[in-house]
Amino acid sequence: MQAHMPTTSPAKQIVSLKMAQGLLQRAAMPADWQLSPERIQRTLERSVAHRFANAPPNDARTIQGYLDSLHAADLALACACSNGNAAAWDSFVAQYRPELYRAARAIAGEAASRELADSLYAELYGLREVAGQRKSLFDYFLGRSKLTTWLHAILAQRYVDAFRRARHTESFDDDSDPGDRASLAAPAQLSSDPERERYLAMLQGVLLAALGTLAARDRLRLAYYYVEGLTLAQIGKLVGEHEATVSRKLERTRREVRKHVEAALRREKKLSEAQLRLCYEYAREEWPFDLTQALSARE
Amino acid sequence: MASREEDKAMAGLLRRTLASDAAGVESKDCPAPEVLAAYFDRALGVDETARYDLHFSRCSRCREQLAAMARAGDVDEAQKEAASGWNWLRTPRWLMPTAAAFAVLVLMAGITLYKWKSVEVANEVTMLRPDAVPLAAPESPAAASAAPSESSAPATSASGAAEPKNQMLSGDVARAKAAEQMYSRVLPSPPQKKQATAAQGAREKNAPVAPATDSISSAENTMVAEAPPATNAQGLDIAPMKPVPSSAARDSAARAPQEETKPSGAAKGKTSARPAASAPAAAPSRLAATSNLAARGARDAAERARIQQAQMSSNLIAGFMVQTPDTNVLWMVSDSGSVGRSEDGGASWKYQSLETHDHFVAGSAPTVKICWLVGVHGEILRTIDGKTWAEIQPPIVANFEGFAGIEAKDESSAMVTTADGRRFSTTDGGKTWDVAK
Repeated sequence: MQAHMPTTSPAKQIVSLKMAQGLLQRAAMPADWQLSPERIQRTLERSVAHRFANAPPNDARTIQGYLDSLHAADLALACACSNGNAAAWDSFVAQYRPELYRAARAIAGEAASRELADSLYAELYGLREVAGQRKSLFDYFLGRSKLTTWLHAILAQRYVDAFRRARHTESFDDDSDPGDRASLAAPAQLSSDPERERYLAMLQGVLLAALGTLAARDRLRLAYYYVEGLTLAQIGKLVGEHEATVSRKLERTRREVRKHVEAALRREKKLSEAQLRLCYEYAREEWPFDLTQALSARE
Repeated sequence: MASREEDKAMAGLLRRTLASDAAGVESKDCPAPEVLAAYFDRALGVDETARYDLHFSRCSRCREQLAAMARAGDVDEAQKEAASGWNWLRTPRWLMPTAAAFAVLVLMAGITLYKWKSVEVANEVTMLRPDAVPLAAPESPAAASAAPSESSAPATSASGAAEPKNQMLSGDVARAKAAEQMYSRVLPSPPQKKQATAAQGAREKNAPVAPATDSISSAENTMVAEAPPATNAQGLDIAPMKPVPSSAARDSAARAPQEETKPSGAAKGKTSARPAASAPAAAPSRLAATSNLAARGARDAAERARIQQAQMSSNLIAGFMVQTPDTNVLWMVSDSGSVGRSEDGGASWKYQSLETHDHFVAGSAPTVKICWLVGVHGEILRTIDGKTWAEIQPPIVANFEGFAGIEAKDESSAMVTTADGRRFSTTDGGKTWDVAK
């Protein structure tokens, strides 16, 4: 994450002190947070640099528009907490700590939630020191989202990375899993039906090709639904659509994919209707996916 | 094998294929939590959103993070609902009696409203004018003096010291009510509209008068002309699509689909339909409460408009652009239901809220003034003066899956394309539609 924090600010001259004062005024923060316009100006410069990294705007109007879109109150709180202001920290604790634990429970489950939230809590406070200076995680909050959403994003990232690391380690260490054993098994041991692997590999190949032609949004909806197991409402929230729209679009994409797969199997692989049905029948059974993927690549 | 079994097999295939297909994506390309959070809050620019959509569609790590965030967000909402203290209403023990009582109330309110509306029809045109909305005039002394006091702010009323405040409040309420009535006719909520489509179509065929949307649109134009121009704190232009009190009414109009029988109908019934039955002493406090709600709604709407304005001015929210024959004149329609118009090639924008629940996906502008928009829930909007938008009667389509495109020739002729590829054309501004070949 450190890599995303710019050390130099190309937008140094762009965010004026007046703009910073305007944002502070909009934040309407308590006076005892003691946040200076210069401090918020530095954060705003980083925020602008982060947003316009590829094409820095050259008019103040665009910059002002961007600054107005920031969550001023949340940004002020994060800056004040990063400064180590006790009143701001108290306010954060009162407002966000219960939420942090709730979100951690929702993401990691009851057992692991405490550890996940506490580790983040310590980093937010700034227990880590770099070159004698306290480094708070709040330094990375740039105001583009709500503070709550940002906290969720950090929790989610920590959890997912830890989970993926553990999964990776387990898959090599623990050889007692029958599923993994099957995936590493030799093709000859898999089935008595020699046609089975061939059909599955073909199916796999044309399906990958069909998915490759989909628009990013369509593919994303399918992945959220089939892989992540999200509800239509949750998918709708992620892609900015009503759940009825998500449902309709999912159904349409599924139809398109199936049409594409069947057409490809008939036209390119020259399968008959009976063979096509056989493909589906094989697909309903469990099979070592990695192997068929490799086979389909060879096809 | 039955088709259902094949669907199951396909679902399993999709699950396994999508779960394993993350080739070509490296974790060093994954965005920071700051970006994920902004994506989740839909605060990224159009360019960024498209880029990250592509990345997320191929990156299982990012998808897992977003999925976790969605689950955490669900908890937020559940907690908020629990905190509201009304959960006891959901217990089955209370559900049936409450539902029955609610149904009776709705019925009574409906009957009252129906009677009141029949009286109101004669005054409809007058009511649409914001400066002639003393709805409460014959009903209460406080409201009676409301309309004149609006134009001369610190009113020199003879009704006592507390009078001016009440005058202001009742004036606001009356204006908000008028605007609310107007919006409920101009832009009906999608479910209401869909139910009424057939009947409305039949009415329009038989009646020699212009369609309802057109007449309301002209009334709306009058109000727009009378409304003062609005600017935000930064001095950026905001097109005044609706009259000043509209933000409060807009809020209530926006809430209407979910709570159809809640504030508007009840308020109308109480304050206007049966003035004699209401206690005089209770009226000012009720008006004050309504006005407070309206003021809070107005503040919220102003804040939302401000953020939306800022986001759009720096191209921060997702949407699409509609080009006109003049390269300097552009329309930008955002996912959040706002439309921006630029007359200087995109250097500056004027924004309007479309007052709709649809999600617009396509537009067509045959001239600099005329623009048609279509939404996924079946709404069609059109402007012929580049300022005000009127709803167009959509074609009746079996198994409708939403619109996907539109191509307009002028203010009367357009062809819409549905999500499943069917096309319908009109040459009379949407009064009739034919299947296009």
